Amino acid sequence: MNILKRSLLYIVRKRKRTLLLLIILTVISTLVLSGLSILNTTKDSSAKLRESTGSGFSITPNLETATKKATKDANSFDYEQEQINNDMLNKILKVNGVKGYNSKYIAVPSIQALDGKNLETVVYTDIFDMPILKYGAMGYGCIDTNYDSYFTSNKFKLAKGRHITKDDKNKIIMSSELAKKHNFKIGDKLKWTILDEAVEAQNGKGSTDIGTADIEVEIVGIFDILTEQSDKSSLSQHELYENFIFSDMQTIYDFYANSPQVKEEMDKGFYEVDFFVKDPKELETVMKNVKNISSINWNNFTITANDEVYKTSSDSMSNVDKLITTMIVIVVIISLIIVTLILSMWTRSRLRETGILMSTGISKANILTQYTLETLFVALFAFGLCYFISSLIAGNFGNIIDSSIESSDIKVTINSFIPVFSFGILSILISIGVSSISIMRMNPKEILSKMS
Amino acid sequence: MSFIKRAILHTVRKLGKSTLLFLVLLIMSILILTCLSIRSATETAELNVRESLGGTYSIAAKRTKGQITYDVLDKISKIKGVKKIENGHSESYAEYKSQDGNKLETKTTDSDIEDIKGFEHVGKLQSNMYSEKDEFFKNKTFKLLEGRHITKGDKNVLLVHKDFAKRNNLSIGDQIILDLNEALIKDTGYSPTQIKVKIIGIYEHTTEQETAMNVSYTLYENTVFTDQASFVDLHEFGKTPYYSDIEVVVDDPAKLDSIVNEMKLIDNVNWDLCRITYHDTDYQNAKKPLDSLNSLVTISIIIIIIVAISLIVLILVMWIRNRVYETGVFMSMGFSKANILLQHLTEILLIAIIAFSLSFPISSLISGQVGSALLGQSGNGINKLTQLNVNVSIENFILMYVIGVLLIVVSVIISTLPILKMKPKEILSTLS
Repeated sequence: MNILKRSLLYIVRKRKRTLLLLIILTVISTLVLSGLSILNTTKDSSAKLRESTGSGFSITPNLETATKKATKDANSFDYEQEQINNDMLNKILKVNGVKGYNSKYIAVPSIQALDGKNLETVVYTDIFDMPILKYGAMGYGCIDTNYDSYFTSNKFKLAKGRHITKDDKNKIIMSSELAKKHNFKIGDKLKWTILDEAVEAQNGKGSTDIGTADIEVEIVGIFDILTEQSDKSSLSQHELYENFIFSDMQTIYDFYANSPQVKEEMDKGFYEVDFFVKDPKELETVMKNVKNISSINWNNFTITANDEVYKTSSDSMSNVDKLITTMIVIVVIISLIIVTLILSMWTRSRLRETGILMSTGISKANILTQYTLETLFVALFAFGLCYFISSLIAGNFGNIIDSSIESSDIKVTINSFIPVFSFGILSILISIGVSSISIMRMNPKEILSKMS
Repeated sequence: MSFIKRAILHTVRKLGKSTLLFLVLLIMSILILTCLSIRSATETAELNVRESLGGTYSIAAKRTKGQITYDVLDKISKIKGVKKIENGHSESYAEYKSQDGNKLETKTTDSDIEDIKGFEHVGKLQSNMYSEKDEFFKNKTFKLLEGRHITKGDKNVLLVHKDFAKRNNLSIGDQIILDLNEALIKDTGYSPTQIKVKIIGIYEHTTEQETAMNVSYTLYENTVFTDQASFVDLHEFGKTPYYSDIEVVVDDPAKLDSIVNEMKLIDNVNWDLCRITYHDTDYQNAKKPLDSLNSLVTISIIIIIIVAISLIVLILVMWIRNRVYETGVFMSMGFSKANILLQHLTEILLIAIIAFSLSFPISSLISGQVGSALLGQSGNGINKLTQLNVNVSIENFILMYVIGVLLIVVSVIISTLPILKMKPKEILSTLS
């Protein structure tokens, strides 16, 4: 009878023993595989936790190297300094680790319906009964409103529709209060204008800074205000959060097309750009790489890290990460020890059988191979089962315990299966080998006499 | 031979087998205890994350017309989980006069809006528990140039803008009068009392006011800061001092709801008139990943405990099954079934008790190592964090002990029963 046949026969005949070993191996390998999947998910969640601190850096013109020009009232200065243009932006965005950025311009438009009818903005007082105030809103031209400070600081939250992104043209998002007041829905259009009264008021002061504007914009999103302003009745209408309107950059360019001085300012580039990184751990590296862009004259710019939140909490965050990792490592180590122990127990309980086989003249190597083969057959089956069970557990556990983990978050990957598989086989081989040593040293007579 | 003696003899004679069972039980209990201790440490670490992210809430109580008195603030600061009252603030407008009653000059606006009648010598009046914590100073819009900030307990003091001081030839130590004119008390029912205040500090603004469409009395240059006692006296002389806006700092932003609910039980305040706003952006942003980390630990612990229990049961079953032959022999010798069962139980419990007892010091040792080797926690001065220790708790140990023993008793009985049901002859004949 050859080895293969003997081991298969053993597996089949001793069905209950086989089943027991199968269950034990399945349970332990499931433990290890789930542990490794949890470890992967922990890495993801920790990365998300760090990312949630919204860390990044800002680039502004360096005022220390700027040319100072006294303003007309001589109390303050105007600074002449290079600003960030689109060319530089694109180069900075190529640096690895930058996930998003924003910069904004301010405009104070009045709003009108498409037919030219002035629309009153939200108001809580009656002091400001003048046309240039009554229809006034605050317009923020943004590159990407996802990263605007009002949204990143949870003052506002997008309720319907979508955010404004880089490639938008003449799109806006407005507050739900303002939308409600005029029955605006997503997809509706309105006009941003500069009223003649405002232009006249400017001209009256001898300034020609502001020219007329009359542009059509489309609502693509509506936001909710989460933080209320204090003392709303003392604020003029365009200062109320309710009357904040976010638009894309193109809208602002169009809006100031007839205002040469503002246009000139804007053509210089962005005054301040806020960049956000994926992982605040990498912030220093990212900033260093940005500073290494040689085509930008860094003498003219100041680059500041915004990572206070991450800095105060990073120790505790990494402690959470370390603790979970340690726990899984302990689980894996102990699982390996347990497998070894159980297999030793297993082999030892077959002392009598070994003695009989040896006395029938079967070589020690042959017997050892048979035992190994048996266990490996069972183990292969167990590992297969474990992959199946772990996927099942991973898929459902998240939902059962807490909805905060989406089932897709915990994935049993082939990557974590391969180490389970190979380490499993290895520990089986080693433990059978080790526990057989003492038996294999004896001769059949010793074994059989020891038995009774 | 009694079953106890037999049990001890079996354990000693079959030292190899006994050791193996001992090791399995020991390792399983170490696994459970260590993981439980790591779990509670993780909870502390998560609490620390929340504490370092911080959380505050503000109470806008203007509509209560002065119900949030100093007494109420004291009660709030004593609620468990409240770290401190960050600031109390009120805001209004006041007319500025010199000591001899002449109206003081304010900066006029160059905007498109004409001054409203009665507001020519008026500016914004801000009052604070700590002027340093006022929004304007906190976000660095304003910067103190000379003198000192207003702090808790100050009375009849004032901070003025550099421009206002220059315009009226005022310097630190000078006194001016705050008053409310007809236009200011219209519709309010206040009977104003003139309050003499002493200038203790001069500030300037660092960023330009955002828009040109401002009326003169909202200009930064015409804003003054005073203490709460003066503010209250100016409006309603002799009234118990109160604040209109209060900011409260809590230890754990996750507890904001429960703290606010507890606060609302404080008497003599109509909390319905207060608007409470949470400032916990950082925590809100981090909440989802924190929750998933927390669930991951819970999932791990559940899996570990289930696996540990099933392994112990399986191994005990294996243990008993290996002794069918022995059982048959004993039965044929006339030992009662209860006696045989008791012997098995005694053997395993003997081993288990030693294993479980040893697991406590060993897992304490491992936990201690994990704690000291891994965790660095820089003592952050601003946010005092909860001490992070990895400890095996006595409660967990006792729980594991009791459950472990129960588990053993049940699984030994269940796996021995089928053998005991057989007749000795059956057993001995199935074996060969």
